Amino acid sequence: MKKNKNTVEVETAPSEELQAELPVDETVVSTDEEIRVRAFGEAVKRIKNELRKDVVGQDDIVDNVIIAIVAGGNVLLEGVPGVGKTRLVRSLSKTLSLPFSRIQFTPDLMPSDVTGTNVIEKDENGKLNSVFRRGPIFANLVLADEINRATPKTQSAMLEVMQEHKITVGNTTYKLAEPFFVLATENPVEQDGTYPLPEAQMDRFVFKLVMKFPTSSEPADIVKMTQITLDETAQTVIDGVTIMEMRQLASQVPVIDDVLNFAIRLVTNTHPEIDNASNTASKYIKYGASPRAAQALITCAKVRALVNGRYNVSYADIEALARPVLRHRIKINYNAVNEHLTVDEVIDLLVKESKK
Amino acid sequence: MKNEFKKIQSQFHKESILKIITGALAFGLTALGVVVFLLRLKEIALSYLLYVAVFLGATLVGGGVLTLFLYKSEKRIARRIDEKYHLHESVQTMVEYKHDDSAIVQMQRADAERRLERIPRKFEWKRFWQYLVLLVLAVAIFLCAVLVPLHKDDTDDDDDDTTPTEQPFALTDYHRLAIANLIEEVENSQAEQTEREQIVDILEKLLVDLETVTLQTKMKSTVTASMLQVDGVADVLNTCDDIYKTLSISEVACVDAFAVMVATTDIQLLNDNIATFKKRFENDLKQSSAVETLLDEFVGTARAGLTLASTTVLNTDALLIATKAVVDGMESVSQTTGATYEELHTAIDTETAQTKGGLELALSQQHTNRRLTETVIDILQVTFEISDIDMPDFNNDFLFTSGGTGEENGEENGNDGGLSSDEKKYGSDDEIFDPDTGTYKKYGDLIVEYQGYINEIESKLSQELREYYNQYFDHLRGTQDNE
Repeated sequence: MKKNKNTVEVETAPSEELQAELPVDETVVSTDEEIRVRAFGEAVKRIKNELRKDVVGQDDIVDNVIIAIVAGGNVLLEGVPGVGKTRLVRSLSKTLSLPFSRIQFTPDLMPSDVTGTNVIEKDENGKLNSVFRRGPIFANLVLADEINRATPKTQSAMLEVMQEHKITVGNTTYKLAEPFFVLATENPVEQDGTYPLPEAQMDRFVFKLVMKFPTSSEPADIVKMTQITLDETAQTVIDGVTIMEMRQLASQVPVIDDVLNFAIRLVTNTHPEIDNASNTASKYIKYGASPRAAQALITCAKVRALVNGRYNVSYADIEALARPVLRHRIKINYNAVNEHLTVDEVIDLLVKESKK
Repeated sequence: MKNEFKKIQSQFHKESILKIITGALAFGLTALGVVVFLLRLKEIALSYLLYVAVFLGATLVGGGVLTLFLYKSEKRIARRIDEKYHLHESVQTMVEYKHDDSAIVQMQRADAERRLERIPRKFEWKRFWQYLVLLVLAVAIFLCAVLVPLHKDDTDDDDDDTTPTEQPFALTDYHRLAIANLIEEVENSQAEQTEREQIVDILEKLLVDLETVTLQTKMKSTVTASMLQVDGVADVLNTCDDIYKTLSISEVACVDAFAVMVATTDIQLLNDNIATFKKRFENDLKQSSAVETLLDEFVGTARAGLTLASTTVLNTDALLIATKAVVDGMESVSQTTGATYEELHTAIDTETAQTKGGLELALSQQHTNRRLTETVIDILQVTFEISDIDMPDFNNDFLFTSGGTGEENGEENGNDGGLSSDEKKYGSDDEIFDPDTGTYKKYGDLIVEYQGYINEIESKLSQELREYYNQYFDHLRGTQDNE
């Protein structure tokens, strides 16, 4: 792909230097809140450390996955086969000590294969009863592998689950246990026999993360690591309760109006059909993101701020999350394709235009 | 909020106030400099209090405008700090959530304070220097506006330039009354009616013209122009026509020239000459003399009288020409008529008696005319305070518009020289009749003798006449040298 000259480098790495320079006075007795914040940071560190045991590189992917989970959102992982998508999710499930299930989506997968179905069973007395057999969706962490291979019918069965965390089978609604995440994967290479996810479903993923092919020494590290064992070696470090506490703590992180308006302006600028549309949207975008994108930006930015040792959301947080939040929510037009612009480069232009 | 942000905020405000004061002073000085310069160009002087008011007003306006731009609110200061020190909007969050007491906001606040403690507190001279430079420039502009001399263009290279400064003039009741009185005096004078009417017209027009004059220079030029017109009235009227007419009853041809000559002389002197002339004749009557002797006496006396008259108020060479013509004429009469003594005596006596009154009357009238114009001119000079330097150069050439010159009397001279408004001049070798010796002498020699005569009576002459004669003879000598 030809790199466009308008590409703007967006900060994705946390500001470690600030964190390192902050004086830590351990003699001072901390408040409960300070303890919780400190625990938050330590939990994140532990998760990262455990995940690094099983996943080589992909640090930004790991960070964003953690952010999404703490924020309570679903993640769509895109990558070629063998880059560690499934391994990441499996390792994550071990780290979080959450019930995990994997759904391998195939074209013949039925919705009931996902949600579960009623079956007729004979009880002890030989009486036939209708019993609901829960599907693999009944877990805290669900890996929807190659979700784009399932039919739209089966994909739509995920919609209600991903958004509302409940399943309706027949006349009965089953609420799923919290925290509940769906980490879906899709292969961008094999397009034959696949069903692109509809926009409605795409909007329910808070992030779309692209796992790139390992670079430099990473392939060698992968080989070495997997020679020892193919199984994930990550250990449990936190549980679901801790995640909920972290989520609740992150929701309290303050956001100033200027940053909030920046996030809203960024999402608004993805729409070419509105009055005073941005130049980038008018030129390169077919349709823009929904207000869920702004919600996702703010929610995840709060988590990111805490992850980076800050107590407030900054412009850098919004800019860093723009790509994962927007890349699956906007559709670029032929002009962008003609100018060899990727969706990420268009998002960078939007960020630059929104900062003015 | 704790003290750290307030300290920084205070520092920002101090910097802003310093910049506002410096910028306001610069603006005030610049505005004052511009105003002073413009007023100096227009030569308008104002009270010092007004200058102070202009400076203070401009300073306040400049200070107000700068305050709008430079005064920083809490939010702006917080944004400035976050941007400058890359604090990720922590200070802005602290400011915006200053009333929020939730646990995490308190932690955020404490975190922001810790970051603020590490910010260096130094005065931003870099941006303040710009205001100092502006102030220095403003001082320079003001000093230039006050001290730089303003030159007016002066294109007149004439040394006699007496162009007055542009002082204002306004016609006052004093001027109007003076002119009104002058008009009344002219109307009641004994000058000829024509002259009176013309002078009154001139004065009335002068009054109308001066009503719209606003500058001294214009007033002086208008008044002096009127003076020249008044002077010209007498020049036009004071011809020898009346004298000629008066004397024309005489059959003696030489009287024409005599009339020309006497028109330019002083009447008192003329009367003296006539009296002398008569007296000589009367004396001769008591003696028994031959006709020829008496005639010679007559001719000689006439010559002497005429010469004396002509040399006393000698302003043009025409008088010498006239004198010569008169003498020649009288000689002609004496040689051709063959009259007896009694006949000549009677004729002269009759002639004198008949013409004297008319001559006196004519000359007196002309004298009155001239006196009136001089009176009007003098009064105008006094009334409008016109200095002698600004007075016009009146033409004292009493040349006649009629009555003839030597040329009209048939005199044709190949060599012209001497002073004359005409182009005729006498060469130094030209012969001219000398009445004292009764012979013809060279013009140059005659001039020397006449000057000698003047030198003898110099002590009796006024300074003005003395200078006049000296200039006249100097010019004659210059003309002769050129010949």
